[in-house]
Amino acid sequence: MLLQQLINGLTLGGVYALIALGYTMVYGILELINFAHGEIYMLGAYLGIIFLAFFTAAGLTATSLPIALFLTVLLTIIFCSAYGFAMEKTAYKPLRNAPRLSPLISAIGVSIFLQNYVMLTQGATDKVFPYKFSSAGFQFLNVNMTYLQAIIIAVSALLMLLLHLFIQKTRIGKAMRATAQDKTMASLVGINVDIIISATFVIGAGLAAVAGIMVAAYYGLVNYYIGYIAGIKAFTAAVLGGIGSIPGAMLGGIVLGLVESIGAAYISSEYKDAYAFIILIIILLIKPSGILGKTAEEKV
Amino acid sequence: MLKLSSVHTSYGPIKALRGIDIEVYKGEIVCLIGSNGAGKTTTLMTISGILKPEAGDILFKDEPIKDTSPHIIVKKGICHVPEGRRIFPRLTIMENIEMGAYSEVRTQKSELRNNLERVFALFPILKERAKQMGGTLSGGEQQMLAIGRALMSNPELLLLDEPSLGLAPIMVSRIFKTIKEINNEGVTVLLVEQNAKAALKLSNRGYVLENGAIKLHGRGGDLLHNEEVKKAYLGE
Amino acid sequence: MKGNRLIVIPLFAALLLLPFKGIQAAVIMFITVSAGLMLISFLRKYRIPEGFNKIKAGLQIITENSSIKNSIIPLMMIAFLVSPIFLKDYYLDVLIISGIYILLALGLNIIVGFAGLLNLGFAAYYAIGAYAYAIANTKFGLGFWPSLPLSAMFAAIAGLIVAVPALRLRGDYLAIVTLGFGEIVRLVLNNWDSLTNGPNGITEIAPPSLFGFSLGKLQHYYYIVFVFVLLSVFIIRRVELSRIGRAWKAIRENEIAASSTGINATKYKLYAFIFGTFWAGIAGILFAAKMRFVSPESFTFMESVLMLSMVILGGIGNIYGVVAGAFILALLPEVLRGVHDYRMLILGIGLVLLMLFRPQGLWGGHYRRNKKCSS
Repeated sequence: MLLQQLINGLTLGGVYALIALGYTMVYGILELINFAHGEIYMLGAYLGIIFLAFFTAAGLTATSLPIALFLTVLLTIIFCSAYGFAMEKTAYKPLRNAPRLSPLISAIGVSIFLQNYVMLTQGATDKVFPYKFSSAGFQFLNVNMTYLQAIIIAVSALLMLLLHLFIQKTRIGKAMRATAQDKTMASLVGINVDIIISATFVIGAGLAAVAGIMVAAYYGLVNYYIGYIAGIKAFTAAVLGGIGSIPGAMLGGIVLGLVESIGAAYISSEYKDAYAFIILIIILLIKPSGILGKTAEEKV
Repeated sequence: MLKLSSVHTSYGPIKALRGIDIEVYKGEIVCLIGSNGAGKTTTLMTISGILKPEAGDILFKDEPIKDTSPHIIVKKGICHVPEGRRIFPRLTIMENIEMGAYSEVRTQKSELRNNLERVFALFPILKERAKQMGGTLSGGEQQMLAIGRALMSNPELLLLDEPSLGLAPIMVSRIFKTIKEINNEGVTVLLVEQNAKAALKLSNRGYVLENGAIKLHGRGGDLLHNEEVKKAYLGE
Repeated sequence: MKGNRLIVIPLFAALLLLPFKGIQAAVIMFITVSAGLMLISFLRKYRIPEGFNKIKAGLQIITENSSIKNSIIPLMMIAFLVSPIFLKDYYLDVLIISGIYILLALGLNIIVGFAGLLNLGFAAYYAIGAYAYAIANTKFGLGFWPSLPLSAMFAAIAGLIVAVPALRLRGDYLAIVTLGFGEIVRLVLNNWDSLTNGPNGITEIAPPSLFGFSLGKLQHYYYIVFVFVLLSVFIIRRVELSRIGRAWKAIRENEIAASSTGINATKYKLYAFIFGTFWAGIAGILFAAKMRFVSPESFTFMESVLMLSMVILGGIGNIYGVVAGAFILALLPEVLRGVHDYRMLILGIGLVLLMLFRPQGLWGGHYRRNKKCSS
């Protein structure tokens, strides 16, 4: 029973972690809570369904499922990244030197806009994922881990590893870290800060897109308001691990996923959505910098 | 090499520069001196593109650069080491140095290695501590790192803002010696300093800024013996 | 505007829409965005915005001229006072709801506008005020007037409970904690069936009565709400101009400087939270008494966002601006009745545009750009 919950929690946690990375990367560079990031994840879920339905109608799913899934994922990542890019350029970039309240309100505006945009174009009713994954899986120690769960955990882990390597080893990744530490200085060593910020949004959106598709496949149903609650939870995960810290977001996501599924199983499933907030409040009160966060120095 | 003509720059409503003219020739060390708030740092930030001038022209190698973004200006060969050094504290020293060569994508690997050798030769301590985080260095070492990082982009013109600020006297003289060495290798230097005496001794020419305007300019040695300068900035 | 942007931006917008709505919609999007961009570049070319500035300057003279201002306010008062006589019930209903929103926006403005503390869960205190009356009335038979201080007190205590720990946090974190509290309250209302009757809500709440007369007619509600709005404007204005109000503003502008002049920042922030949430409690009881029904659905995150939008639209920190902002946004759904489905979409775009072009709000006075560069 507990082991089963651990597996469910890990699946959920991987998804939260992928979304949380987008929050933490953007916060690291712009000190902005990108409120609309959860909506990118929701767009990912919808786009995944739309593209897969398109390929199914075109007959590709029947002939070759892996190719259809691969193309779906690829297109969804491209589109979500484009949305992330457009969002930054229109709603945040002009406000880069404004007081902190302005971009936050703008982000809330984008979030409301995207929710209603999807509702109006796709309808207010639930959307069904066009392919049903089998419930078969690995059996061990009395627990069942479906193949889909295994895929979600593996994909999340792989993406996190790739992101970690990207940030640590590549030229752009190092430039991202440099920009997060000191934007002015970054431009003085020749880094194009605008491109780095765009890249941050694009990568964050890409990760959220994958999370969206996986959740759509896992639950089989999506609606236009899943982005808000998932976004808040992922943000909680980011704060939990220490906002601005990439390993922190990964850890925070997994911890949150585990707490939620164990809490739902052993305490009460009605309050499942409240655990995230309760943890968030406790963490912020005990250690506002998060588990892996550096103690924030107040700039005067 | 660099020519500012009647440059005006403001911070919001505050006019920081009111029409300054500065010229720097190839191979020189030129210093800007002046009291706090005279506009020295603003001048450097305007040259490197962090601040945009409201009026006037900035020419670098006869090319206007006043509307160019900072990262492009770096590519053109101007490198700015700002006040307070501003190293990246949570990047290793090696990564800090690599960031200095960020704009040199097209440069040959071997040339980059030469640059690195040159920086390590100037500042051997950086080589010893290459794997440490930048934030763990002392003030003087951070200054070395900041200058070393700047040299990685192969600048033709180096803008140095208060390199001696907050350093122990022995470190100050080492930094000034290094600036001279770098200049001897052919890098033109525009230096902003509070330590007017040392700066003027080192420089070919100097400008005295006051309230956002050039008050005096002349050869370093001449300014050193100028009565006004002595009274106001050298404390004699 | 560069020539290629006229192609690239519309194309990008069209491509983004393509998977969601198909080719036809994408083409329409392309054409609309192109036309919009051309219009903007046309306006810029012929300097038409300067014409707008002249109109704006004219309006400013009117709003800043105190004799005009002094005569407008009493006129409006009289208009509002007599309106129930000739307004249809429908309009009266809208005005009552607007009045409740004005109370909420005024309360939120104390926290966000005066003290500079972002709060994204204000609907929670509104809900507590409303449920306090609903439960007191249906379970314990308490009337409207005895419940009034009860509702306000419960909301203010909830404000205090959140504020004590949360005020140690910096701006963004505070926003998230308040948001979290708002969600927790809503989840509790939704799930504590024995007390709140869960998602079905509480029905048959009694209307207010006075000396044995039931005040259940729309006109009665209208005047009750009207009196509360006047009272709140008067009291809040008084407090704003007092020592406390000045302390709030000092903290908002620079907390460290304020503390160093001897202002106990934490104490005054607590006051702001208590005083602000107090009005949310009042708004809550008025809402419960007016609707005679409460359910968790009325207190979602979107409500909190709506209240914040009201404060921001009118002009953060400016009482009259906030009243106007609340009024406009409360009326908006009625004005946009024809395009009802697009209401929230328009609100979203509106928030972004407001931040881009007039972040200080319609009537906001001073507005500081961040001075990030030093030296």
